[in-house]
Amino acid sequence: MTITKTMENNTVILSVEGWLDTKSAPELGKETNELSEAEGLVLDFENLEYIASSGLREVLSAYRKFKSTDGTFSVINVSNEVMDVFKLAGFDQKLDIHAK
Amino acid sequence: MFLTLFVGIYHSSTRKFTYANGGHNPPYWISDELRCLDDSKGMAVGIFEEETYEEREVELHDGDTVFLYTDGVNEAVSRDREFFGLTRLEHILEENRQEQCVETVLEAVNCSYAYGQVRGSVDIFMNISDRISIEFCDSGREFNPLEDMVDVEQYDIDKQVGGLGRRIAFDLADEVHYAYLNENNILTLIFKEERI
Repeated sequence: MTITKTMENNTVILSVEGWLDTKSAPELGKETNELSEAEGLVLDFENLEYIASSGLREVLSAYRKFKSTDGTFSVINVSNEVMDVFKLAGFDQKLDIHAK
Repeated sequence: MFLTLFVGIYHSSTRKFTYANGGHNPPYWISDELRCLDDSKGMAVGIFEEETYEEREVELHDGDTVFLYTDGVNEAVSRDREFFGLTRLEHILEENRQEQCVETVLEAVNCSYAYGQVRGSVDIFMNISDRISIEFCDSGREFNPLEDMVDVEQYDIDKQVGGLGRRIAFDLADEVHYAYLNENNILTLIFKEERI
């Protein structure tokens, strides 16, 4: 898994590529935890092939972090396969998640 | 942080099976055809307060099976990074409608975890008297599921991942035994009458 970080205004965009599984999820957690200045976070999942429940956990953790400070949070470019996992856990009902 | 939960109650007098789903893999109902009980769609449990979960109900018939599983089945990964997937699971359930479906699924999934290069077998024996005894016997590599159990009291849901399923299943049983005999893992769960 690779994470690319870009900044647009005061919003951080993290592009996640590959597999977000038990092994790689902590990396995303570390990355989002370090974002203390940003007012918003966009997770770009354009090139994400797979998300495990440990990955969902990091997405939720980032969502909570930004919501607690009235920041913005969204997940974009989500593939059908990854969207199925979000839907199964019900995340699509409350989080701002957009399909590819 | 969150967990997923499928709760179902079977009413033996009316044969109704009532259920609600909190973000878990929807079970399959194996009857005259294979159906997925995916009409109750709730949020995973523990994320937001005051979630509501819609109840659904089906009437079961003689010989029907409700097949419950976790993402450990469809997300089992082979050595060449291929997922076990739902299509393969549905195919096995179609082919093995009745009592052998759990064994066949476990055998197929175990190929990626426990058997290495060789094919192995899984046998499940169930004995019902004044108690229910379920024995799982597999020829995979030695694995004692009673080791490294999570402690529910100490469990930090924000820091730890996984391990609760095994814990819940074993806590529901009155007795759990494990042995590694003749190159077979043998796990026995016993439920006494007052629990049934």
